[in-house]
Amino acid sequence: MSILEVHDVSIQYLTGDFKEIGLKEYVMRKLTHNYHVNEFWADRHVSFTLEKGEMLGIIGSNGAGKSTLLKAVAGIMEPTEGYVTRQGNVAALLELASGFDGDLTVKENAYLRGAMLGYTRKFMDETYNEIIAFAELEAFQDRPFKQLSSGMKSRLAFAIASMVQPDILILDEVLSVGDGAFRKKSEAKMKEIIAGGAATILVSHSLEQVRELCTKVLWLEHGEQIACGDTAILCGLYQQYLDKTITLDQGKDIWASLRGHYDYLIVGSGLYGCTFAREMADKGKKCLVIDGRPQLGGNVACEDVDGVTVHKYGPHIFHTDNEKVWNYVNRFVSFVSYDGGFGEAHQGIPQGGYNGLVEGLLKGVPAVTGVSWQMLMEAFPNISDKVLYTGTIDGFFEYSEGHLEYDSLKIELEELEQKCYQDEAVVIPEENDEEHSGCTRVVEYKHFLHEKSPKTVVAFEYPQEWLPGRMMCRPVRDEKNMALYGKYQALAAERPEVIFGGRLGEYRYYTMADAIAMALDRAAQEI
Amino acid sequence: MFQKLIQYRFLFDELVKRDFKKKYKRTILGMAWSVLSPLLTLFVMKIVFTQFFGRTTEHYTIYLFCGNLVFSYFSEATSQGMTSLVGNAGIFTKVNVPKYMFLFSKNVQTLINFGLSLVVFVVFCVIDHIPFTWKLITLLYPLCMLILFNIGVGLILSALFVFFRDIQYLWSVFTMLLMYMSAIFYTIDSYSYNVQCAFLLNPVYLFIRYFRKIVIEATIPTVWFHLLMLADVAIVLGLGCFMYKKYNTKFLYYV
Repeated sequence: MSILEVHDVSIQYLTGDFKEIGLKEYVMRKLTHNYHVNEFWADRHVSFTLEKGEMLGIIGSNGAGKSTLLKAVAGIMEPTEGYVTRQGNVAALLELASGFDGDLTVKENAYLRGAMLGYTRKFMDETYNEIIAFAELEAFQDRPFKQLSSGMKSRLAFAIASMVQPDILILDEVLSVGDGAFRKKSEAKMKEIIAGGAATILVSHSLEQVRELCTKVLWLEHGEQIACGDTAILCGLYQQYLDKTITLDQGKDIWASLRGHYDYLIVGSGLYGCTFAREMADKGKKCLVIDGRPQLGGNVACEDVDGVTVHKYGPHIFHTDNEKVWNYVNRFVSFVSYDGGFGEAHQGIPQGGYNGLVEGLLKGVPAVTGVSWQMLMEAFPNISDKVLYTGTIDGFFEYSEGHLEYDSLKIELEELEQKCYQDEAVVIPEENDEEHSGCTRVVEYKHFLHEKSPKTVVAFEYPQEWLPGRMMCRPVRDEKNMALYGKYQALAAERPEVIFGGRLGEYRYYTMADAIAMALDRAAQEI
Repeated sequence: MFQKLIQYRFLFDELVKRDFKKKYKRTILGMAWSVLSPLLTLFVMKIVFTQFFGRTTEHYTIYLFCGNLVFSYFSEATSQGMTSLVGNAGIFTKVNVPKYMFLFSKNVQTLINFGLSLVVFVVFCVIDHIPFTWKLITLLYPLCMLILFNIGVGLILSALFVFFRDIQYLWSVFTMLLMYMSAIFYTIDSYSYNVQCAFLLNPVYLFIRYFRKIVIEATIPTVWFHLLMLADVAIVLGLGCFMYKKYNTKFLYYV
């Protein structure tokens, strides 16, 4: 049985200008039918359970219903619908610094607060010195409380409250008490209490704190339970919501899609993954695409900068002699042809950039950004029957045999307040450009799609040594690396449910067209 | 409820201490003042009303004192009890504690005052040659009833005060009217039988009358008189408890 169960709790809150009106005014307003009490649902259908040693983080914007929910858990308010069951005693630290009496001394207030929290006199006698020492208020014990600074008040409140060993501990923004040094001390104290086996609920506006401390997360918004579950994923979603990269409804959809079960989980939303997803979805398979980056598309992701379509991870020009692939991509987007030299039958850049191609490929397939493979496996290890993994194969096995190496590039983007930087899209600079010395290629994006922006965005490419975490361009397929790749292939053979595909999964250089062709083949094999 | 009282014993103690300290903090005379003030009232009434009622009433000082003793306890307990809930809003909106504790704590304090006045009252009785009989024991009945009655009225008022803040002024006006109708400084003998019966509808008058019967006349009131008092207390206390129970979780919307 859970220590705390909140079952389908809805709480109605009353607002209106009925507060502090007199009886006379009340009667007058009743007579003139001018008395209004607005009822609104501060919380609606909230459910969660909490076990010993767990810590639940409640996140959500202001007015999400967090404090009201805490009051219901603490028993200060009763749910209008649903119920809360508690096994054991509850200590609620809500809005710490209030509820003290300014006229009493610090010591008297400490005892009163201790009594409010349900301590015994004996316990207070024993721990009083410890409390004062923790709050660093030894010199103020007999001063009237109102002479303390607000930081001191909070410190005392925290010190008293943290002396407990409750079964259920409720913390409302209390960890952000006092200065830096005291905050560290208070966090350490909290961890001690949690380690002691309390079930804890934390409300904090610091997502960092929630990520670090909580074992699961409840996300409320406008009183509605958006999601309850894995900390890393929900904090990620909430951050995206705060950054306005997803809407609330999208957040809900994403959470719902993460809780489904799939035939294929596709890790990585590059062209290989997207093409595979399209083919499998068209064959009636249930697919989910995830990507650890904040946007879809892998290295072909584009971004509009001042009316210029910028390829975020270096210029991508689609070129192929393969009619099948060319016809395939033209199902989703039309191309603006490119006259530069690959000498192939079809060369071009999609109208509006590659995002349209990615969207077309993923139409009707749930795709989640900001969720990495590791995060997902931690939260939903059994989400799919099979996996297409297009990330690095060494990364999949946590680099157990060592790192595979790549060539790398450093790309410096410059936004310029001028109409045009160079005449061509791609220029190999002359060696005497002092400002950009060492630069091997200069790309002015607006030429690709003949865009008319008054500004321009130029990418300067510099070769750089590859280190883990840097951009991976071409695999270094030398003897040493291929031997290492062989070891990973052997490991991969033990995971028949995982398909390793794409540039990183197969440790092989693919052009975009190659990637699509390979993905089409791979999908055909699966059917 | 009694189990809760034991559980919250420490909090109750601390609340009483707090109310006590706050009350007597900045007055030089402190507790002495709470004894002196009713004595002054008594003194003024004695001077003013002896001319009108004193000549025909036996032990008029004690007669006055009985009225003042009961009424000032009633008025202090109820007017101070009224603000007890709102005054502790900072506590009960943060911590789940029984809300009637705040009123009880205030009542303990006024009860202490009442106790002190009672001591002075006994001294006056001795000075006024009041015979001390075994019947004085029966005063325990109206005393207990009065305490419960004050708690009941306090519960009702403190709950109402949360919703309607002007109750405070209405109540002080009402208290003054009630004082004039409680026959504190006059006797009701000259009124008609019906009017005299009407006085019995005033619960505060019942307590005053009980005191006078025992102390001055040394007669125990009838069983019906006891039952009437019990009924008054039961109604008021019942209503108070009902309001606290019903609005227990509603109060915090209004503070």
